[in-house]
Amino acid sequence: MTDLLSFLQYPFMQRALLAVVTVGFLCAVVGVYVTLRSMSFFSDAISHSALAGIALGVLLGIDPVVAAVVFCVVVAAGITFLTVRTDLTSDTVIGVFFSGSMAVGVLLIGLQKGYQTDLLSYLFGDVLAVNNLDVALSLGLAAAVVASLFRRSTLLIKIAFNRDLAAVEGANVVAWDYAFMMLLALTVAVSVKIVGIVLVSALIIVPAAAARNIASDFRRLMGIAIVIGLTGATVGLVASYYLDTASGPTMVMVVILIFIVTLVAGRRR
Amino acid sequence: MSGEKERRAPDDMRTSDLYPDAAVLVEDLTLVIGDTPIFERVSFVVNRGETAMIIGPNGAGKTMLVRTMLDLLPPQTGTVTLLGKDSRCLGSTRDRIGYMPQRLDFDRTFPITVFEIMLLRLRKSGFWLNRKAKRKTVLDALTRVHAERLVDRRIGRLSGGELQRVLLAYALLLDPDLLILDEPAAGVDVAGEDTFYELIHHIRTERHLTVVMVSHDLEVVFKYADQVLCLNRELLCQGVPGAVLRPEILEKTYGSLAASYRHHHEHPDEHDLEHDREHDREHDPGAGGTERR
Repeated sequence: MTDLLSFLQYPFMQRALLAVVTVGFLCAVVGVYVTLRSMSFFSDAISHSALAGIALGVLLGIDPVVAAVVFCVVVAAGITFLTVRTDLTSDTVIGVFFSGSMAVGVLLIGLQKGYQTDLLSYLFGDVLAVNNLDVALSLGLAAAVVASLFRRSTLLIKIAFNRDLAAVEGANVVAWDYAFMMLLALTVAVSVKIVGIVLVSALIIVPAAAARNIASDFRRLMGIAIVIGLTGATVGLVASYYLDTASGPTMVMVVILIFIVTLVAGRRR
Repeated sequence: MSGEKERRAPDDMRTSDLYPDAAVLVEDLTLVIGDTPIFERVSFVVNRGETAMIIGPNGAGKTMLVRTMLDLLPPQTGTVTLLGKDSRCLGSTRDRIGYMPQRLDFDRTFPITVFEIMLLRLRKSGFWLNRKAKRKTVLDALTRVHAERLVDRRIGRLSGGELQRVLLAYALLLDPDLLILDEPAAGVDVAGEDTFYELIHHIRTERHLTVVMVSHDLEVVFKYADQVLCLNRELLCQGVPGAVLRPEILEKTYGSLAASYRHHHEHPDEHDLEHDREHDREHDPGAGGTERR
């Protein structure tokens, strides 16, 4: 056991562990609501739009994670606005923003001089490059997001279950749509440095999806999703250290394996 | 009520002041969606303790009227007053209104139990903790609709009839004064429909509830309604069913369909004989205007 934990003697691994635990917990909680609202595609689009935000940050010389937070929030607001205000389906609006922001991101990367290793690390995540500011930022944002989700969980569950019932009981459903998308955008933005743009939505969707295979009620759904998220993050990080693999994809593979197990277990019940 | 109308009001008096007994006051309500008028200039009053039923053919705007009354759709003109409050700013009055939508639209795979759905209505008490303390309240509410055995079932796995019972318990959970029901027996099998309406009638009598209900079933209207509202783009009649549901009104409301409704009432099928005899006794013309029971 002490051998297995020997990696913790390195400060960068301590930071990495703290970061993945934060992100694993945050993504799992948010993921429960994302899957209930069938917003997987939306979270995918937001995470890919982070690329443009990061490129913009590097180009303008501001912190890429901060730039990503701002850019993700703007894209989320844009998608929500067009979905509410036009006859376009959310699917279509998301598709437009998805490809549009990817194109902007790639164009912005092209404006940089030379080869951008730093930018590439954002695509698939580099948990070992996480600095103290990143950890502080993700801890702070995660605490804020999780606190607002739990504080207003009754309302959010009700809206996800049936919008009319929620509205009749006084919920401003559209305002909560915006609020939830902002929370999702924040979640994506704080997670990209750790798991990467391409894989962050897997860490959001898969724990909740796996929990849904076996949970019999909503409270268990949330509990199981959090356990799976935390397990995937820590086991994935430790495994990537000893197997010398990329940490983001390793974490995603762990939660995917858990998903397969729950799928089989759920079928058998 | 008609006496009230004639009383002159000072200019600063709101119409709702003229109807102190009104639980529901709908004034000059018009709904247009896009370029399509859904209903026009609808006005009616439902007094406290009354059961009012809205009837009309498919597409007459019944559900839209209910949704507008609940401020789910913005009307072009007119106002709705529920329990003395404008429906656009009900505030805490919302807790005194129970609503049951027609065929609740939700994801059947949503992993949530009946108990947890009921917790969503007890909003101040939180969702995750202290569940044991709330279990009794929830069980009491479910017992009222004979659905206590469903408490731990997944909501998506209920049958049509079971789901409607749970939704009724949900609507009744906070002990409302006003119940707004949109085709509450939709999805309930034919045999269960009568019992379901009886259940609603029993609860409303016991708790002195005001009920506004959309119904497609004229028998139910004759049996339980104090007031019927015939809607087809506009309000074509309102009053005591036995007095206002004349063949010409039904024809105007239902158009060509009226013939089949009339047929149904004049030549009841065997299994309806029992009910129709009751109706004949009940809507004796002399009874118009007073409560029938």
